[in-house]
Amino acid sequence: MNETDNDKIKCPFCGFEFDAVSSTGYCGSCPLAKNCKLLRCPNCAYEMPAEPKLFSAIKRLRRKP
Amino acid sequence: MSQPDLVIDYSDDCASCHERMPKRTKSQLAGTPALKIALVGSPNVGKSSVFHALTGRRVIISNYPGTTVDIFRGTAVLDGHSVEVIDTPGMYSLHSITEEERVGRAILLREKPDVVLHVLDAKNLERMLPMTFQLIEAGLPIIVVLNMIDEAEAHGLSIDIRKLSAAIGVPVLETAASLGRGMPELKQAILDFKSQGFIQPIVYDEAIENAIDSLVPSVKDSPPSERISPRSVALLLLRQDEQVRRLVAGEGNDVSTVDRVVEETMLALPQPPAYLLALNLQKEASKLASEVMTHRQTPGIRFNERLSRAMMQPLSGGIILAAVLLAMYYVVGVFGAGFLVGWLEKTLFGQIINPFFQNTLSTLIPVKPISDLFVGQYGIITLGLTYAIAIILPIVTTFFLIFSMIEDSGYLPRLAMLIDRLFKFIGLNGRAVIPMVLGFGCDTMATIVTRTQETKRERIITTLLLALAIPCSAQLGVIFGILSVSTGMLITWLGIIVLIFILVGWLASRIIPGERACFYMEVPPLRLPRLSNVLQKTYARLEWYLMEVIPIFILASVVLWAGDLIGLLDLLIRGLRPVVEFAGIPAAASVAFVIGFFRRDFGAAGLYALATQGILTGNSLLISAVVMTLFVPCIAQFSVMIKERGLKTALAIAGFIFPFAFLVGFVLNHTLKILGINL
Ligand SMILES: [Zn+2]
Repeated sequence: MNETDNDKIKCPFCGFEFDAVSSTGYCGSCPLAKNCKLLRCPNCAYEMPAEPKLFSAIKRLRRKP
Repeated sequence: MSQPDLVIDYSDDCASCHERMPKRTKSQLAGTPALKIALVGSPNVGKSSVFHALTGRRVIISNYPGTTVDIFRGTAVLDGHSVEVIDTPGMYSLHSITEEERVGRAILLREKPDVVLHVLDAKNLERMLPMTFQLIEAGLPIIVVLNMIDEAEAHGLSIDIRKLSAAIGVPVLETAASLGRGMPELKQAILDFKSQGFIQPIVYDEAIENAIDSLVPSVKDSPPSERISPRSVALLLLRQDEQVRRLVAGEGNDVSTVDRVVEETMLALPQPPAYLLALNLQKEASKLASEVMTHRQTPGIRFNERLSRAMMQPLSGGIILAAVLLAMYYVVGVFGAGFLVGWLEKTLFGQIINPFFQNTLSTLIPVKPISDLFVGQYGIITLGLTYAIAIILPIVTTFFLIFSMIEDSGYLPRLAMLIDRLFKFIGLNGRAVIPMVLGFGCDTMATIVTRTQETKRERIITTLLLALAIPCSAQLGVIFGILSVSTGMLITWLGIIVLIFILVGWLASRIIPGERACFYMEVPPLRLPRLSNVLQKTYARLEWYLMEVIPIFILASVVLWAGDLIGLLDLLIRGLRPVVEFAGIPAAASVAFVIGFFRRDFGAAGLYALATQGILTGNSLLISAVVMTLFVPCIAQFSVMIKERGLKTALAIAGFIFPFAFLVGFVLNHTLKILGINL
């Protein structure tokens, strides 16, 4: 579960904002669900990749100089 | 109420007012609230901001009984009174279609809230008022909350809330919940709320009003009328709401009169009542919105809005779409597939990597079948990795780059609105637009999303069209690459696919009749793509794609190698050869069609390899691109089709597509020959 608002993801398709945790609603019947790291918008089901580790690491470095 | 599944304790610092909030204990939360209020509204109107601003961010998430939908509950303290607040899932109308909407309605009916806050996006008042009318005509105790008023003001909009409140007869307030603006007034309005009794905001056409009059006596004493007005129950019945009909029929009530009236009304009207009702509501909403809203134009917004509208109009939208595709074609087809792949495949893999491994491994592993596993015709290195890295990687990199730009600009929802117009024209349901647009990303996922559609008929038609005519992103990229020889070829390919899409869609919607539904979607503002966003998205997609695709390509190479070893592959290719030749495609392409089963893009990469070797040229290049696009979906999509639609429907769809794809190839081949066209 996300504790801060920073983890809110904005859907690039419909603009809906959601938590990463609420993004797996459609995954149950997908045969690739186990190894696919896509996030799904709970509003319109548009899929997008999660923020890559590399980028979140860079961001963290920037925040803590 | 079932046990709460999850309790989240947010920080005690209230985000909306930055004041320290008193710590509340669990026992206080469990205390009997004096009031119960429910928040309803479409998705994306900032309902959760209002919810958090009211409840001070202490939330209980639980699964709504008997469903897979999560709902949020919290407690607000208003002037010393404890108030229970329930946040419902987004709903567009009281007539429920999706599971989320059914839960939203169930909360209104079962939980009997004392006050219902209808939260709207103030920017989109006109599109949101129809639901307000429905809630009022249901006789629910509502307060209208015009949220995101700050954004509306930034757009130069102002709303006369007194006039609006007088027109609809319920309290109206303005808030910007994420900033805490208007929240004290809202809290006071909840405490002061007095139900005004039933008002009738809209008078419908005569035929519908007559039907309502005939239905009201039969539903007056039915269970749903305990909570919503008999008029509203009658309207839901006219919209053929199955759930409401079941509730009315409930404890052995006689519904034959109800069914007869509904059926007679359907026959008497030129269009389905659900459609006419929606039209009527929208007309009234537009009228009221224009009376209470004033718009001050700002120059920057004006250009954006005009461009936005142009993207959604059929003619200008079509031209813009063609321009977008052409730009994609130059970046992906000409630069990515033509230039980058040419170098990687011919020079790096063709002259350096593959010969190196071929030489080393054949000396290291003298047993030919075993060394073939790595460097043979279907070897892991010579087929799997060469396809993945030399052909697919540069193509998808350029594709994802331009796709991320398109995504970041906000063009996709506008594309959905444009396609919706085409869909209405061919008699298809507007709700099918979302899975179709998503299909360009991944058809497997899009097939799962078809479950949000209203009827079985819609789901089948959409699944069929997805499997037939929508190429997934990676396949689309490779197709651009195959056709990079000329723009004429690309335009012909596009024309044929669009034509087939329309033709099959139109025929299918004729064969399986049913009613159309209105399509509604939020359209977020247009903006210039930001380089950092675009690069990050491209990188994320690439990382995901490579992690997923390389193992599949390696696995597919092993399966092909084994199939080749035992002669099964040869049998399959020989079986497919007459079919491929029938469509006017060289027999060598059979392999590409066989491997297309593994993944759409894998098969397309096979065609690409043949094209660079000069085996596929001119007409046969175009024909194979068309057949490959239409051809049966990959294994993943097929298995989802079975899971979602059942084995029989999935087989029927595949049974139609397989011969149809080759038949189109055949017809195309002969048409080109008759017309004397040599591409
Ligand atoms: Zn979305």
